[in-house]
Amino acid sequence: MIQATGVGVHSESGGGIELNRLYRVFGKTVAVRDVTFTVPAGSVFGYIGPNGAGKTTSMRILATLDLPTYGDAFVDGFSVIHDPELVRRRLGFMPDAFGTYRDVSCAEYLDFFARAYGLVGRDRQRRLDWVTDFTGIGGMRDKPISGLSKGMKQRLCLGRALIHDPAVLILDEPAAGLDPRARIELRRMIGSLAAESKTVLISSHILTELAEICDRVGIIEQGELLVTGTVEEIKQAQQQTRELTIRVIAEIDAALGFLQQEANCENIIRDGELLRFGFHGDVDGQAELITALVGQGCRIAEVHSHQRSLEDIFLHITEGLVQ
Amino acid sequence: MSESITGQTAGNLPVDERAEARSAEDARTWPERLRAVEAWLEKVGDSLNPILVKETRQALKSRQFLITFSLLLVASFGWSVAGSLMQMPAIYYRPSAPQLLVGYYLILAVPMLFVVPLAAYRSLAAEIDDGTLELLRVTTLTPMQVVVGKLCSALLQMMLYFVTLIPCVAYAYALRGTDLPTLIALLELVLLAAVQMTVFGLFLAPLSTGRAGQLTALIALVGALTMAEYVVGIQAIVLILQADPLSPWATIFLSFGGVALVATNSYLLMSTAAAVLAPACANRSTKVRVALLVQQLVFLGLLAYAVVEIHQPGRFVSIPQFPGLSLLELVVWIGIADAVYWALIGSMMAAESPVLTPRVRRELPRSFVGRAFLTFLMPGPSTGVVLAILGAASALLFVWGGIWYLEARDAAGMDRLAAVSLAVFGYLAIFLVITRWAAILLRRVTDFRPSVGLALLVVLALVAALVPYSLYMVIADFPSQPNYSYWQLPNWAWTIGVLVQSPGRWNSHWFVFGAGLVFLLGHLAFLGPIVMPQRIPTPVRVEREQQRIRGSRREDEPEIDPLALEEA
Repeated sequence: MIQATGVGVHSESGGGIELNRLYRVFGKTVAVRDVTFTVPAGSVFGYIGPNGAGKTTSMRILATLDLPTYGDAFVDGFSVIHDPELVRRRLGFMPDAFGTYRDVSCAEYLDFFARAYGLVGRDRQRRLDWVTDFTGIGGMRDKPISGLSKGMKQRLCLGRALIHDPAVLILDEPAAGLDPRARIELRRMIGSLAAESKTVLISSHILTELAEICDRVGIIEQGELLVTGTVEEIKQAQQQTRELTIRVIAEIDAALGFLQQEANCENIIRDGELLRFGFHGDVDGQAELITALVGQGCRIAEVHSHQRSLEDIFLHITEGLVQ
Repeated sequence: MSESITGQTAGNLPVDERAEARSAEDARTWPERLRAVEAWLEKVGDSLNPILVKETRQALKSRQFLITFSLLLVASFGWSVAGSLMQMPAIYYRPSAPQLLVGYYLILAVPMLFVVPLAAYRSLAAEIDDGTLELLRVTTLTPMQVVVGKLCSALLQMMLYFVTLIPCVAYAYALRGTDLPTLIALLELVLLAAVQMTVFGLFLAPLSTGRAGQLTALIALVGALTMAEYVVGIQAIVLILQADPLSPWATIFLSFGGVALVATNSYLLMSTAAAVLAPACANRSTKVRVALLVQQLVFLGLLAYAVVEIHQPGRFVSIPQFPGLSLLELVVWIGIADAVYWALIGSMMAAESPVLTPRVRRELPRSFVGRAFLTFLMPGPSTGVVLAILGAASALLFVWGGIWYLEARDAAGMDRLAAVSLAVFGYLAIFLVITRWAAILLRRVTDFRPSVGLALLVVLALVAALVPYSLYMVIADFPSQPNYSYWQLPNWAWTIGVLVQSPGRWNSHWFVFGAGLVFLLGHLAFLGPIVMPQRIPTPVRVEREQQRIRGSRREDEPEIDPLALEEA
């Protein structure tokens, strides 16, 4: 299972999260393939990918719940393979699905995990008060967990992950199954945590959901990390092609022929008087193209240009493949 | 404040006012005292295992506990009334405690030997099923703390059941007919059996994965609990009705011996359960090996002491008689069973992963003395095989010690028993080394759990016995009375059978023992590279962090590496 990889068992890169050539193989399935990225301390990283992309597997490895087949991962400079005990002290993990205990109230649940992290006396009470206040579950303290709604359970689980004041948070699809209001609340809480300089790795299969709160995102599919960067960087990289639609009321065949000759035009579709195509270039290039078409004698009544949305970008990057 | 009232002004006040001042002082100090007690209790609570705290809270609210506790109360009260009425009017003039005690035992045995162990098993199995174990694994709790917490919670429930029944036992004692030592022995028997069964349940819980595995584990546990109910029940009822048949020395020996055996067995089973729950990169083997050694030392020590004492007439008033076996034979067969136990454990150690992670290599002994004596406690299949053979050898030494000690008075069959013990040792060494080789080959194809080693050993033993026998039968055209020959040496069953039945006729044991030594030496010759890996330094940042954590627990904690004898 584990490959002995020499003595380099701690990272010199300092805090935050670091995945270094991570592989995880289950039988013939490669769940995670050569994934490498870093999340600097104090930043929020969005881990995006469709279901079955390998997000949860990577996050479980980071949370010391699974071992990589090859490679290593570091939390705050400590290896998840060789020093899991040290990693756990500085890591809060919120899994996508979490079990609860029977006959336990919210307050008892949080108190138990505070004790499990070694908090005692006033420290424990102080953290319990803070978590209860932060997650807004004060009114539910004495209610049994089994009676909580999905949104409240998520809050409780976030509270559990925060109980020992970890420097690094790993949140696996925390917004899944929540209603819009609960999503907004969750985003607000994560925003607050980011403001407190926590390092957050948060996963979702919806890019737009994380675009506002993440400093950087990584898109993963079929175990491979396809792209990483800030949302703007990814947008710029993916928006070199603009979608143009023009209505040509005379000489449409000439316009079509002209566009087909142009190297920076692609995927040209004719729909009655409309011509839709992708155009590689900036706004100046777009203006020159229209001028050239007019110069060819084409009468252009309308021009529509639009950039790809985040959803389009996500769909463009990923192919919808699952393992 | 209160001191100023009593010390400075109280003497000058009139009597009424003095009394008033005293009551005011009491009114002020009691809440303070209560707060101090509360603070102390909170400190005690903080030092308790978190699992114990959580489980106790859960258990006290659970339907299972409520029903069991209520039924226990109702049944014990009901039996007190019914049992007393059934013995009327003789209860006034005849000792009646035994009859009542049998009923109380039967009432107590159900929760102690069935409900609590089963609940402990389900509690740990549910942590795995419901995914809550994963939440625990990301905390700073160690796997051993999880297992110990579950055990402590079970012990607390046992104590509650015990305490509930104490008034009833006291009532029975007042009716005469039983003595205090018998009562203590009875309670100890029930408690030890309950603890052992609970630990067995906790041991089984993490071993079973998947529905089929869990069902098998549950059936095994229920079978063991039913067996325990039966065996302990017979012992307890005999103890109640016949009182303690043993001498005071024997009673004390059995009491302490029972505690020691249950403690060492429990430590071994809990270490194993904790090892299964621990991450693969951790050293999961050393604690189990230490537990095995402790168990072996305690077991052989107690057995040797018992043999010496039993051999002296009058020490035991009555000892358990095994039909057809002398004390010497009993010693030899127990020793052989112990050696076989080591072989079974050794087969699993032989199938351990040969990869020593950097984390394990940090813990390797660094001194010469440490490397010389502690290497076989470190993880790895090669060291495991040697440790198992050493364990089997200690059992063999015990057998030979027993033969030597008892020879003077019981020489009959000594040669036969010595030959059998030698042959058993030889076979175990050979099979363990071959199991190790088979594991090496199998690991080239696939990764597997240590329990596969046990399957390999069983298959190997079956093949070794059946193939030579089948070949002989075919070649000799299925004779009605098969004749043993040296060609049957691999056939351990026939060879040992011949040695048991025809002592002195065959020298097979010397061949087998010699072959065992050759296999062992061959294994040791290949062991060099395994022992060679040097301890690697712990990264400075990791070491500092560990020191910081240790410091947060106790400022004056010395930094002792248990595996570096020179430094220690």
